[in-house]
Amino acid sequence: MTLVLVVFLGFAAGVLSGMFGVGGGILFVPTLSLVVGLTHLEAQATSLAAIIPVVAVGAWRQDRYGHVRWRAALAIGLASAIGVVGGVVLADRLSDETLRRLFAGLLVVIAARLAWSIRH
Amino acid sequence: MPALYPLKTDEKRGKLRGARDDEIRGRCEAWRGLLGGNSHADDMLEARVGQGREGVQVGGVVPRVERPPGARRPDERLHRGAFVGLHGRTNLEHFAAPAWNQACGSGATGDLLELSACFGLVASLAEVVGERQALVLHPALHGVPERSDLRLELMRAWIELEAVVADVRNPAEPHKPSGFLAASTTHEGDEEISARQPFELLFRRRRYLRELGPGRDRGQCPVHVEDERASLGSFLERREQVGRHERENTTVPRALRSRTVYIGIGVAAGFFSALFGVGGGAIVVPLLVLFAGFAPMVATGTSLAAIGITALFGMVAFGVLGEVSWADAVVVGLPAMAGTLAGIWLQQRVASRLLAGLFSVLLLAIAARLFFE
Repeated sequence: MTLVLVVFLGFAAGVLSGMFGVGGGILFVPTLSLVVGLTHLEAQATSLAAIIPVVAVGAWRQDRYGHVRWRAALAIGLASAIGVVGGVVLADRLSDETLRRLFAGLLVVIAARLAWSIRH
Repeated sequence: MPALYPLKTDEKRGKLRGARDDEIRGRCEAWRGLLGGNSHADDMLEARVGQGREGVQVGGVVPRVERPPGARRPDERLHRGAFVGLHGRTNLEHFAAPAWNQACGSGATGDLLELSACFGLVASLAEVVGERQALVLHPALHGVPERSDLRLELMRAWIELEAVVADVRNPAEPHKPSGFLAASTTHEGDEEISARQPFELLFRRRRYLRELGPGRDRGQCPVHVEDERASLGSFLERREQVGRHERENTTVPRALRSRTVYIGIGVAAGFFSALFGVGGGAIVVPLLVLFAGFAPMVATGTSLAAIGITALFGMVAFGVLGEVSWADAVVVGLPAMAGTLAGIWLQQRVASRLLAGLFSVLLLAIAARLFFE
């Protein structure tokens, strides 16, 4: 039962991210932590893995529109390794509750941005 | 009322009738004007007739029967006549208000409203007013020096010379000059434009159009509708719309486009992404637009490709720590991939404003749930 729900939520997250251009991650993390019952850190880690196919599809679509600059993307992506290490270490140190609250703050910011984009 | 004693009785009677006739008509018209041609004016008329009845012997009809037929306006019966009931009698007299008065009465407020809207529109934009026509110039743009940035020129090219025809026609009385507002719109400012200025403006507009060319490159590549719309109106998007044309001439300083910017963005994005477990597009896109001069849509596409790599690193790093639940990742990620395709397909077919609103509410709800858990 949970499996069906998670598959559905994953699909819904994909639909919403496709429609509104927000990353799938902001929906994967709550799905994984609230529905599946992972700890928040596990949810974040798993979400990062789940994002990969989603952004692959997105990048493929955008590339067809000619919107991807691969050299820049490669530079950013490779450089992000440094940041990722820092982020992983920090996330591992922080308590689950802190991570959850940080993430809640991020959700509020993204919701505000989305609402703001509606106005225009 | 004038002294009538020297007159003979018939004359006196006739004059009285005429005077009362005028009074009734005046009241009728005033009342009708207030009511906008409302038929309730009849009640009042009847009252007046009833009061005046003792003084003058009145037949079954309103006194204006006495008037010579020449005084009657030819169009009175055609337009907006009102039937007046007399003191409970069944026979009705056709008592027509003059058409022009009708127009002034019911029309005045209507025209005022309509014209004030037109006038407000014109006055806010127009500096050059011709015969019932205004050449719209944005006041703020008018004084801008020639060599300003491309964005202003772009706006000017669009705004200039859009002819606005003020609708000042008065349907009831076309030959009569319309109300005061119309007069001011029509004639005020006729002096301010020299005869050849419109042509000058036309040429300038053509020059801008030539400079910009067919370069609205929407026709040359597929357009991502939602991106286009979502970011319209934001500062970044306006900047991007100019940047779309600027991209080739690279007005962004060369130094800023160097790899250090990308590296900086990458480090920030990686940290953000790993800390929150999200892709990091939320910060990569603005950073690319602000510091690398990317157009938002290009920034979005590039960020997607970059996020793929970032997420790969994050996955590996968390995998080393043993935090990744691989089965769950597959269960969530693969449906999401299909969902993304569906979402992109839907995006161009569904009016998504409401949905976006609901989505942001949902996000807030999740945030609250996470925060207070």
